Amino acid sequence: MYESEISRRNPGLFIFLIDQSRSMSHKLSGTMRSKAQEAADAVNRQIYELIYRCTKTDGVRDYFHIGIVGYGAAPDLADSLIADETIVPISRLAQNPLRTERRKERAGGSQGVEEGDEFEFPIWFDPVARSNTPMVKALNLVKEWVDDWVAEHKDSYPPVVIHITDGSATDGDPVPVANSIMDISTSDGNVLMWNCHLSESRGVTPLEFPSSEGVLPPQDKFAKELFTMSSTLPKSFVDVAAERSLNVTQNSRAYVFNAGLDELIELLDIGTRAPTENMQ
Amino acid sequence: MSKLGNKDSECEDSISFNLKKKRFAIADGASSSMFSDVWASCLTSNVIDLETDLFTNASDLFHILLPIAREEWYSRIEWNNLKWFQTNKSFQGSYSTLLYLEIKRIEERYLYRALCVGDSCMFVLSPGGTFYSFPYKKASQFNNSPKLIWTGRKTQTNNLDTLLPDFVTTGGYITEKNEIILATDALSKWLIETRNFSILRDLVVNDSRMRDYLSNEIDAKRMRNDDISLIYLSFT
Repeated sequence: MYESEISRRNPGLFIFLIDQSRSMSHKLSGTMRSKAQEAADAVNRQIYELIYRCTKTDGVRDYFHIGIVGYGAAPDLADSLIADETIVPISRLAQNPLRTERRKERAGGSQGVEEGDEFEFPIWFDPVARSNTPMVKALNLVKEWVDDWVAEHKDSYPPVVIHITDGSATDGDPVPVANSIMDISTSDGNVLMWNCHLSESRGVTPLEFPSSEGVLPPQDKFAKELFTMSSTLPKSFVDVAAERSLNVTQNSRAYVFNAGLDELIELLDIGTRAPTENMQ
Repeated sequence: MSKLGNKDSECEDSISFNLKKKRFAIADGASSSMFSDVWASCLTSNVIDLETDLFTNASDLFHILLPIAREEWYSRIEWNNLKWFQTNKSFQGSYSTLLYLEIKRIEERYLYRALCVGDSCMFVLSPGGTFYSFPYKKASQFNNSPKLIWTGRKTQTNNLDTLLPDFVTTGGYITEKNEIILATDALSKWLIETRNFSILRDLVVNDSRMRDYLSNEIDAKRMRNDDISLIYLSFT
């Protein structure tokens, strides 16, 4: 399982699911910027990294399809953040960023670019933090997209859904629909749900890839909810995490609680890394 | 042939030969970098026409080859017409393996010398069915990070000394009864595992049958799905 070759014949799918509720305007723990800004920057950068890997002499090859869903930009709104599109081949994102910004690379930055290099950084969506948290509605939209995509790609590497949030749903219980997403499968395994809970509190300890509910704060219903909504890490992801000296086991969940910027970036990187190693 | 699912034009391997000089080169451009196909082609096409040769000056070969190949690589790319994603990746430069063979006739025998960077392999076949492989002897030596020759970063004035690759050489005498195969990594690994040289001998004269056979081996997961290039030499 989770061994399918990823090629243009059998592309992979990443869906990024982003909380745009009002509380995302608060500063992310340990940074000077809002959770919405850091989340948008991290996801834009991760899409850039995927495009980088798919870029060949003749252009960007469609090894991956990408969807981006935002929720909470307006009351009870959950929608695609790619204008007039749902899931798109990655080459279309490469051709159509909202804009590119000329940036000077910082140390340890993007692939292929060294510290001090000037390069074009693409933006596909901007940070937004405005309204309530219609997470259930957003998950239902993701389920609809994933259902349709899997029907067309029965033997592909299973879709990976990466969810970034900071608060509880305001429109019901998200666990049943999250479970129904994780029940969808290709011949290579079930859909993988990743959850990253962002923290604004200083001094809290992030909890990365927990193996049991018992290690979560006992009074925190939301922490347990996200744990339940997270897939157990397949071996290939455990191996990537272990290479980075993270404390992971075969029962670890694809979940980070109380994440700061480092943990957010790490989760995005590990969540996308293992599938890219299957690219042919 | 290209890896299954790719167009022929997407093959990142390169082959060049100069029959008059009895020089043969095969290179495998790294798919993780861009313009590796161009770089592989610059290496093979230039190495076979160098003034120097492996018999007199193997250690200085890259001092002579790299500036020429790099200049051609740079000139073949339309740097100003790249999209943002190509521009960013082009900072990284290009990478390729290289396997290069020279043969000299000395009376009734042939003297050969070969040089290799990476995991393309040479097989010297003997009439009794034995063979000598270079540089790899075992399938377990193949991995995802072979030694590669780098163009250097696009934006830097490259110091040649930083680009000189680690290489290995071999050489010896052969006769007209020997045959030699040069192959890129997927086929080389398969040959070391199966020792099925005779099938290649049968198929090498028929391109479509060769492609069908290799495609079957890939579909059956006995061979890795990769670009495949082969030079098969016999003496008459």
